[in-house]
Amino acid sequence: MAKKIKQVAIYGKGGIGKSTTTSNLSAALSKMGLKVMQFGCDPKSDSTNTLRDGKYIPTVLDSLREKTVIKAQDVIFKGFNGIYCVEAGGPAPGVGCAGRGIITAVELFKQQRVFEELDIDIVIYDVLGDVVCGGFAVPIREGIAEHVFTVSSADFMSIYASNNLFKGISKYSSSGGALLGGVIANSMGTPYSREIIDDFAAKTHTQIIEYVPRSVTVTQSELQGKTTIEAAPESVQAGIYRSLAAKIASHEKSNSPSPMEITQLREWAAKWGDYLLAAEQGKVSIGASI
Amino acid sequence: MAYIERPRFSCMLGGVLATLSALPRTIPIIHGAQGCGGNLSAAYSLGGYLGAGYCGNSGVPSSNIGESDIIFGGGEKLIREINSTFEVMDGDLYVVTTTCMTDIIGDDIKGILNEVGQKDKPILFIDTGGFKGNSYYGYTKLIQELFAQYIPQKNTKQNNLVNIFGLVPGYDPYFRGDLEELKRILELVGVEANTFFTHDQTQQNILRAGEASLNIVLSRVYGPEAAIAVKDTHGIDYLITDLPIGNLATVGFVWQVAEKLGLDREKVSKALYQETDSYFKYIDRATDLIADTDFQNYAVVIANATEALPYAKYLDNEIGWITGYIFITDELTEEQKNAIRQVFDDIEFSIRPELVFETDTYRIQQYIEQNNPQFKSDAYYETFSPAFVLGSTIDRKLAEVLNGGLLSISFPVINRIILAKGYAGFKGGLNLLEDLITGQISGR
Repeated sequence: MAKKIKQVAIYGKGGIGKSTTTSNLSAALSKMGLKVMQFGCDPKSDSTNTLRDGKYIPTVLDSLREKTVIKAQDVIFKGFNGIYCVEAGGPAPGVGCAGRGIITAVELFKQQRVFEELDIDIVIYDVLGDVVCGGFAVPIREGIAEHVFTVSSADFMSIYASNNLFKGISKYSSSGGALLGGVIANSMGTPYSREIIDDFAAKTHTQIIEYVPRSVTVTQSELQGKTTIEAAPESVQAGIYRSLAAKIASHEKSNSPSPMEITQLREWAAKWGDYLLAAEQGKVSIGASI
Repeated sequence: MAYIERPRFSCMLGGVLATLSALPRTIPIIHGAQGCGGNLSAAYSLGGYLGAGYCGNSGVPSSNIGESDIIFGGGEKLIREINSTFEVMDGDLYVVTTTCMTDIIGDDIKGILNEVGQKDKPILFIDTGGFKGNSYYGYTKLIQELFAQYIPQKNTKQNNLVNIFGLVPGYDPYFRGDLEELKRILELVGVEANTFFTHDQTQQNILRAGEASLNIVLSRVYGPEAAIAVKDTHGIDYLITDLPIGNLATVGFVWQVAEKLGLDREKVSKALYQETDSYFKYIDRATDLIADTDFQNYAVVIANATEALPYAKYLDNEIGWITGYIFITDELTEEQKNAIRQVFDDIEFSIRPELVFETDTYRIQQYIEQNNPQFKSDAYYETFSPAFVLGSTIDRKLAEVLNGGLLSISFPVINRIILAKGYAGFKGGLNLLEDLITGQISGR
């Protein structure tokens, strides 16, 4: 019997640290001895840069633009520690349809049995943040990824994007779509950010899989075009990414989340706004429940 | 759009392509996948086998975009297609039309036209994503765009020059014959008409449309919006009226136009008298046959919002048939339905028909079966017989259920070819009488 390939999709608002987290996760999983493929599903095509010394790779859609038949081998590039790197690619900003691009790229791969041929253990899809149209939902439906993790900070817009993603997951959950593994809480800097993200997870019936603090080590590593796992393997931050990788590697059971309705989400955010204002004015102390 | 069983129209692009195929020396350029042009040509050919015209059916240039054009944008493909079209297609006017998919991805057609536009070859763009509306909507928007982008604004108007709008090529299957007859009648009273679609028309007629004193719209719902917009931009007054069929309606129509244009009443009376006289001399010849046969019928009229009431009015006012039901098959807004109801209320019927808005073919039959007393019990009722259906070819089943005849007057018409025939005006009224009688005696 063929081994089961674990397929994980990582979503989150643009600029929240999704690709950084994903690349470090891939690097850490690879260091655990797993055969990893990272599949960037963002028209910017920079998901796998830090796995390849900051270099861009030709994308699936670049190849499609030139020829009608694409061999998967032409668009798979080896990165750090033998990680297979693929970028879906997309149109220039302002033209065409990036969503259709993601659909085409993912389907091309699905048809070619690439994962089986390369004997891959785990595929990580790094997907553009907001699920703005059907194309960006492809990795979470049609049985492609089984588990979805969302990278989110405690900022409202990031939580809003995660909540939208949860809506997408709920929609497809009854028809064989992916389920939610949990939230990767990123950029945990301020004392209250952890409380906010914990509260969001509780309200939407999910879990925080890992808290990833802000770290200058990550910035330093990225400036070298590398992941923290590669550039600073002994750092505290690398340890956190390894812990995240171990949890995801052993993660088995995901659930359908309970996203908040938009009015509910706004009220929830407003409560936190009031609370933080009161804390700033010294009326309550951080850590008091609201 | 609601779910419609056997719809009697296609999409916005379908209406625009049918209309462009009827314009003189006009070349459409479709920006879309290969299916749109072919399928929509197949659709409009159901209007009595409309045919290709100057540039229609499979002759229409299309950018034929594929999946990678959707992903990366189809602009380059369109530029190539426009340049190739200029090279091989000899036209006086080129019109770029878009499709659902190029509208969804938002290709910048105006930008592209600025890039490729050639001054000696006029090229326009109309945004025709099929999802925007149906073929009638497409027609209305095209007329509006011709005025907005192509037809020069003229401050000086020609007193007796009019434009006629409201009939959609293919979807109003007898449009050309109808327009020819109305043009002929208006000429009798000294009025020149730009019809855009009759064979005498050239691009000059379209370009001169801005000099007209009046836009005559033969539809309460398809065209008024364009006429109102054109009044603002080109200062042309409008007359929104109905398609005149037969003597009474046509006389009324001509007087409406005469009033608007301030025509010499004596000249109009004289011309109308001659036409009416000739009309009834023909009718007179038919009276023996009418008297000998059981000619009077119960009728069901099934047509679009433009044509249903004019046909029903002809049947009642002109030849004394009893129209039991008028079904209007387009998808209309409440406002449009009210405009139709208003006209309906103003028509003097000897026996008032029931006006029903119904888009689904099977429901039309169902409606009659569920509401007409003869289908409800074995008790004695005035039966709906002999019956005659004036509808589409797809209403044949209803005609069979009613054990009556069928005359295809509305889209789709596939049991007859329509070339020059029309039912409007005096000659059209006679044509209609001929066809209604022939429909009953053709088995002899």
